[in-house]
Amino acid sequence: MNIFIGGAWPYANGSMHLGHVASLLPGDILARYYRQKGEKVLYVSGSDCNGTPIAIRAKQEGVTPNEIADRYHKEFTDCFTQLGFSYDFYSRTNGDFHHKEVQQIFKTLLEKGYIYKNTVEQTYCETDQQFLPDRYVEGTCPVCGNAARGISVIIVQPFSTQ
Amino acid sequence: MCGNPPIIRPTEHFYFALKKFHTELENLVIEADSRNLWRENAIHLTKRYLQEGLRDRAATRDLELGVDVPIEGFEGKKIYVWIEAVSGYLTASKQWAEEYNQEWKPFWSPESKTYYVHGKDNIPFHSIIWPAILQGLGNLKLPDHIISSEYLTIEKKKLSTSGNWAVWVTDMINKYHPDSIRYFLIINGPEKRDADFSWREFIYSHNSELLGAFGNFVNRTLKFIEKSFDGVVPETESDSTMFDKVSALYETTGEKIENGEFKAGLEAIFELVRSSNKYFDEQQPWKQLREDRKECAKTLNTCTQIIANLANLLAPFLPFTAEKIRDQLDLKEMSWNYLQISSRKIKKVEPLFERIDVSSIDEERNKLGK
Repeated sequence: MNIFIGGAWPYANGSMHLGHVASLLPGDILARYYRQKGEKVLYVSGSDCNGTPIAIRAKQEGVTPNEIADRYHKEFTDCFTQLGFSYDFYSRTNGDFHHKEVQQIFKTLLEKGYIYKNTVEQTYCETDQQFLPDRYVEGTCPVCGNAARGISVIIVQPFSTQ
Repeated sequence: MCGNPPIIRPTEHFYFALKKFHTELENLVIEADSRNLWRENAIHLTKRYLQEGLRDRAATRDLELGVDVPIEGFEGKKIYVWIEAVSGYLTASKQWAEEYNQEWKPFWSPESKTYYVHGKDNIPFHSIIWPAILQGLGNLKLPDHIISSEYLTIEKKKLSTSGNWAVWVTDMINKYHPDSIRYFLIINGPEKRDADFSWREFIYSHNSELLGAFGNFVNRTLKFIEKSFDGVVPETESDSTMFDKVSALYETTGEKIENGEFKAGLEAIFELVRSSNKYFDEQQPWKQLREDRKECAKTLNTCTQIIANLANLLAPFLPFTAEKIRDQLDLKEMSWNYLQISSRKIKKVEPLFERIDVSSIDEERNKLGK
């Protein structure tokens, strides 16, 4: 039998803590067990290297986002190796291969009609002449009225990305 | 960024038609529930989202960092991370296949078995978003098992990275055995409810379970053989009552692992470790050696067979220690079947674990929150 195991992708803007390991370790037990049983196993994961928190951190430290992602990707790889994680492939989301494949996925979904165009209202800064990434917007939550940041200010989504 | 208040302006974005997949997603969670394939928290949360009703979600965003939208007129916009990140499972599979000259498709075909392993904050991305994307793409295997853990608290308090109320892996791995960390996190795993990590529990579990029970059983057996049988495992029959206990574990622990019940699987193996220590104590090989050397040989052969099988059974959980035993006993193949080993010379016996001084408890705890 072919067994696919996908471990969650740690976010490359901070160090790895024990909570990460507790939730990811089951993947390695499964991978080792099935290999030992003689099954074919593909166990993958990678570092999540995109998104605004990395961009913010890079600005704070005065380095490029890639430097931040590289630093933590390397740390994660070392930690996983030392803890015995037996990934068949440990990837990262700022690699060319990933970018090209994701664009292909996007195009396929668009061709099949599962992605469509929509006009939305979005916060725009006239001084900087750009639409603002959600995280940079501060305001009040339209639902509860508390101080909020990002998507909850603009549009309430059923769940957040972080 | 500049501090001036922003204005609201219309812009074009792409949306993902999540609502179209409502029925399929509902069927998926119903099946997962009836066959016990997902953790309870995943079933519960997913049903709740479906009941509340799905909404189409923005698929593109004005972000600085990410994958460019590959459509003319959308320069500067990125594919939203919730589509982009989960797609990594597929892109990584394809990249692996390309770099290692392998086939990725068999792992994504309907006949394959798939597991997704993550913390509970990640559930909807794996139980709703990713299955919807996969169905949109077509002909790709949907998640079978979702192993979504609850949280780990530290010394009974919520983990906080900004307040440094956390245990960092880079610090811990330099000082402690990787299998001690693995053992603790499995036997106290946050499988059904939040679990707590405390330095006291961690150090006590290492000293009493790993070193005191498991390490001691292996060490006392092999040391005995080294001293009284010139380091050669005696060639004789072994005790059949212990054989049954050991061979049954392959099935029970295997089943537990496949169902995502790692804690129960490992507990069953340590149950065997405890009864093996008891067996050693009751047989009293030090007495048998003087009174009936044949019986003594049988006891030690039995204990060595157990150790060889522990190296098999524990390998998924404690790979470094299993490897060390395999080296000491000169075992070749690893398998998930009962293993009967022949007489052989064992390598120089070294303890599997070292005792951790309990003074480390306060030392480590004092670093928290600072």
